[in-house]
Amino acid sequence: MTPALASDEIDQRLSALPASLILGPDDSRATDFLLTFHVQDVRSNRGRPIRLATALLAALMLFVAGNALVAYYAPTYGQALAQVPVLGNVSQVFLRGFGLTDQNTVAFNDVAVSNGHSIRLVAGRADSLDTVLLLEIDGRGLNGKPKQYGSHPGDYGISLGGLTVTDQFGHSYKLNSAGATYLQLDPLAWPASKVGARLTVHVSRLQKLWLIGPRAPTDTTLAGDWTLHATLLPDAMQ
Amino acid sequence: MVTAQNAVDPSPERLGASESDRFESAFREVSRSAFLLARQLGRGTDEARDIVQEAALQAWRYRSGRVGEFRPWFLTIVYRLCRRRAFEWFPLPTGWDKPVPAGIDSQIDPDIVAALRTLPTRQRAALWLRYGEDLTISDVARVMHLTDTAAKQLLFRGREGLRQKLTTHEP
Repeated sequence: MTPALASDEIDQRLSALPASLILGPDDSRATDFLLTFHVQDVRSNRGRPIRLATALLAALMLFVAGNALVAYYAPTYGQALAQVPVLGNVSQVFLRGFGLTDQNTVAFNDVAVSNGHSIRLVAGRADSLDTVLLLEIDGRGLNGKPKQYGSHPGDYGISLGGLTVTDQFGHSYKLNSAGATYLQLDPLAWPASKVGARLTVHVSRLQKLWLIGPRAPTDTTLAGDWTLHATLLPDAMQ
Repeated sequence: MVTAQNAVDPSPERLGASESDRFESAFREVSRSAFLLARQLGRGTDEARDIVQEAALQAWRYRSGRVGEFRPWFLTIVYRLCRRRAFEWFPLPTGWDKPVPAGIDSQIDPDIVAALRTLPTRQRAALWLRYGEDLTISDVARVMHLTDTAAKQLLFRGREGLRQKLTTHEP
């Protein structure tokens, strides 16, 4: 062991270090490479505000698109979004496009016309027992005297064989009972039962109700292509 | 007297040079020091080169905000980038100091280089800035974001550490 070194000696040896420093070949190459740096290769920062604005715009679009996507697949999320104090005012504009408000479902006024006849989805509800949809055909079926509906020429009803109802997750709902313009379906299935359902109702045939009877002709249906949409939240959520 | 400030800032004889030329000239003067500082802070050759390049880009971008001389200002950027936690596949535990990678030696005094390698990173950086770069204590403090007193203490502890290592290991 050597005797303790004086502070001055340490200082001198440290100060002399840079002059005697030897760099390895890799380090020498790196320092030589750094001498070739040119600022002309650097993009000027004039483009920076544009890049920043682009990034902000992209983030905003991503946010809106993300919320729209989630609001489509989960109507309850959209409803919750519409109730946010500040954001809700903005998002309600988008939500209306998806058939929602901050209060309740509103998608029930969807009309489809095919083969000269119109079907309007008027109202509906969903709970843990069943899902009910009410329709009008050619503006009739829910007004006037419902009990007499079907006895006059021109009274059409939904043909049970030509009806499919699916939600946004692809789940099909079985028809349990039906009137002329009244459909009672299975209760909403998970996950639509939790997040709300966007139902697509497709009707391919209408029944000519006034022709039904013992002496009915062989074909009492009318073909067409009617597609209707409705947004339903389970009762417990509303 | 010619100072580093005069070498970088517009002077009558250099008024013809463009801003980028002046910046490049100042960078060339400090690039080796910056590279060695990064190496002293435990970065490998490629990492140190990349850090100095990135520091040069940042310095060019934010050149209008520079206060004081170019050298300590630039070394401050390099120090900050070196202290930034780098992504590693197998990160070292917190507080595990990285030693100086091999590749730097001294033909006259290899013992002090070896002793420097064993010091904690901050002490090594402080000693390198003070003696290797010949910065004032105020500039060392500025580069390392310390008070002057803290910089003095760090240098003192570094010197004491060196003294102990050299006393123990020298034949």
